[in-house]
Amino acid sequence: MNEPLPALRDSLLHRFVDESIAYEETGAPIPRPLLLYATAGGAAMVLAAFSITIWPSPHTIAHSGFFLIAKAALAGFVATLKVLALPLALTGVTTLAITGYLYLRPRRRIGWHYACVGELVAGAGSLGASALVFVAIVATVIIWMLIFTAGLALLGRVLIALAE
Amino acid sequence: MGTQFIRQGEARATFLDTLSPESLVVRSQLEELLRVRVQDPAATIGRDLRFVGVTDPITKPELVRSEEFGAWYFVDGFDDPTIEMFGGQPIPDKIRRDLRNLANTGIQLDRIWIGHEVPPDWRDGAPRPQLVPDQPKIRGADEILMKVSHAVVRGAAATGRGVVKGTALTVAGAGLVAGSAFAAGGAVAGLDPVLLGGVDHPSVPATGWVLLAQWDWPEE
Repeated sequence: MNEPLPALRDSLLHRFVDESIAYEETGAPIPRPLLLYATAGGAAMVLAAFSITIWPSPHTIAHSGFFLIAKAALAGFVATLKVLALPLALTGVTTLAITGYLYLRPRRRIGWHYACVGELVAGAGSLGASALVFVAIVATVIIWMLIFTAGLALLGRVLIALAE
Repeated sequence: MGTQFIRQGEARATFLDTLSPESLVVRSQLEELLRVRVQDPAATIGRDLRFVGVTDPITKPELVRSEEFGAWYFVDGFDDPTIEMFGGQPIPDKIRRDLRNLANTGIQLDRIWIGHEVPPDWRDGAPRPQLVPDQPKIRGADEILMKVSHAVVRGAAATGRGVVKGTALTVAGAGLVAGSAFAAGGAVAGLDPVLLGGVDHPSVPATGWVLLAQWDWPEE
């Protein structure tokens, strides 16, 4: 490498090269779909946090007669979710704000691309975890309906038998 | 395309020789000036900087067209729109090193202009074409990330269909539409640039140009 004389360091070509950047370091804009997915992920986190707050308390689950199976496990799971609800809401709002910033001021580093996918995965995961509680409630309702139907059927048979 | 444009002699007349043919004296004076200030110093490191033409002074970006060489957008290297987009003029690292070595020889330029090849049907004032392509390795990473994202959304949609059917379908639908847009965007590739160095005539408004560098952006 030939070193320049001091006086030549300020030449136009030196300035041009100094102000340029290596193409290999330029990255790429975040694809629009990834930004959309990230937005959906952030919104899912907020939605999940909100839904967690409306689920019955762990104490209710553990002591009510409504839940028939895996009461303790479900109560423990909901207790964990309730603890995570506030951090999840804050994370969701923060990531939504960051994603909004990415719409306005696009960033090109590959790390941002991965962050968008991370936001989507976190959103889907948190919403899925919250949905499990809903599934448990629905499953319990179905079990109660089956029990009720079976009870009615049994009662009907008894009444018919008595009538005969 | 950029290589072809400069290498063919006709390009001089087509693109860059805008000075009137009567100005042969000015032309020879500029050629001599370029030899002393640019070509001879560059030759000390084995670089042969080709003379590409003499023009009237260019002061603003110019869109130049030719049936043979397509359309080129010439702009001052310090005012290139890509600088704002990238935070600096993006140049392949190897070319940057070559340019730095060239600068170290002590060549003295008055102007540095960059010529971007643009789509033939592009009109000035229309939305700017993508002058610098995304890096192929990042495009590859994005494709993988998109597949992961699609899988997550599809999985969420499938799992939640019975629970939150409406929401899941909405997200999946948005993903499908967005995925199509991404596929279309991925086909866009940057067009090849040339970098020109100019020396002004000391007394006449004319500039002589040499080709400093040219490169092809990586294909997909």
